[in-house]
Amino acid sequence: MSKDYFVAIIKYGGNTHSISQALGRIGVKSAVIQSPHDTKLNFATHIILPGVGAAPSAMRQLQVSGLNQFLVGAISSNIPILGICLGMQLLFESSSEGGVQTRGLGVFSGHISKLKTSSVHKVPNVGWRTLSMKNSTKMFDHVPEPYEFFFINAFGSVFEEQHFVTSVTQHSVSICASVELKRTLGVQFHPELSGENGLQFLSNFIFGS
Amino acid sequence: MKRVIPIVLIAQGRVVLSRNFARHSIQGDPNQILSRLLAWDSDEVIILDISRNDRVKNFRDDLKLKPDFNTGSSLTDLTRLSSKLTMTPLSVGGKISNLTQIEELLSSGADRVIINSSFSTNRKFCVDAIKEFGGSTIIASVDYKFYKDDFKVFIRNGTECTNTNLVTYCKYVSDLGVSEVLANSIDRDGLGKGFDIEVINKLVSHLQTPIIACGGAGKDSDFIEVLQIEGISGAAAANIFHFKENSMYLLKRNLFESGLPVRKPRIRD
Repeated sequence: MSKDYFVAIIKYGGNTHSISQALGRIGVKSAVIQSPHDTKLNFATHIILPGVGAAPSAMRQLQVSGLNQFLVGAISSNIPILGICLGMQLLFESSSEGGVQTRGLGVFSGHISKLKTSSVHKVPNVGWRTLSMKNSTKMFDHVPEPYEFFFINAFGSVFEEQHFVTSVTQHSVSICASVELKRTLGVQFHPELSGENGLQFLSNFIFGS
Repeated sequence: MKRVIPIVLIAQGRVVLSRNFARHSIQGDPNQILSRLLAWDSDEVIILDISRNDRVKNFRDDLKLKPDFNTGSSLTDLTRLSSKLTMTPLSVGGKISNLTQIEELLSSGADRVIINSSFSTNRKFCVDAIKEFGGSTIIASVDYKFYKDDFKVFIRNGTECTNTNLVTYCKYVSDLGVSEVLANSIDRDGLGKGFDIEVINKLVSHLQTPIIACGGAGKDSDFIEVLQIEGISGAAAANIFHFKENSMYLLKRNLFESGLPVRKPRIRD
């Protein structure tokens, strides 16, 4: 294949190094983008919304920079987009992080709320978790069962039977671990922290979509 | 699933063993030791720089690390080296006191940064760090010891008592929004007599934030005992992994076979 893959990592605060490094491992170039006028966006074959920061400030930064309009356009023109952790949450309708209601990009119907603790389940939800597969997807091809991925999240989307949910993981309740609608994907886990499973997932996203 | 986390202690650019935070013996080249630990499919790796002096001469040409041994620089080099060797989550810390250091470590390949003394000495910096990089990027390391009838938190490599009760202190760092608390018993450090089950139990039941237990691991059954605590996030240790061939794999197989919720151990080629 001669195609040049190039990933735009949208910056709205936080650490974007882990994800660029993971992409580097699978031989994919990327750039951190903070403005819709960045000319590098013209070459982007894929877009990643990284998993760092908090919903209210991330959404505000996207609005201030105008990147939210760019993302809405990119979604409707079917450019493959992957939202990781907070990035996934921004693709839902709304989030109550930080005690305020923040409107998201609304690709996936549903609301992001704070996880509830139990004697066994702490918040944030940190560590390796297994996934249970729901609606079919190619994004976990060649990832061995039991689908171990690394999570760090204090918020999440409580699982409801929806056609776009491709996997769930267990906290005090079942939460969405991955969602997919056309070429827009969201994962609650961090593929960039998930070793070989994470690299396989990223490869599936880049080379398979 | 619960994690087993090897900690690599670095002093003056060398891997060391520690005992009660006081005695440190050199284990050798961090390069080789890190390669070995990282090849073992650890759940996460922690590198802590516990160097005592800010400026130390480098007597070891054989380390091939070429760090200048001023504060922090060797940790950055080791972070860069480690992140090239592994895809495991990498958490690093040691004398973290400003945002530039954190930025530098993250850009060198750290996934999370561990802060200890600054939670006591510079609350504003910690709040700023959590705001800037996200709470999910920050781990609070809390060293404690039984002192004057109570478990008190100590800072600056265990040399200075904060006079704050352990549970109170852990609640304070949790409320600031850190992703996890690494609770380290100074009394048990390096003795290999088992984890501080009673105190860890208390912390886990009092806190909503995940707790990683550290200090005292001497044999595999110590890990089994501490990881049986309901709601514990993981157990960390340093010395135990240096003495036995394949120690991480064998430990994880032991834990897996005893029915604990851990990742299935794999042997890498």
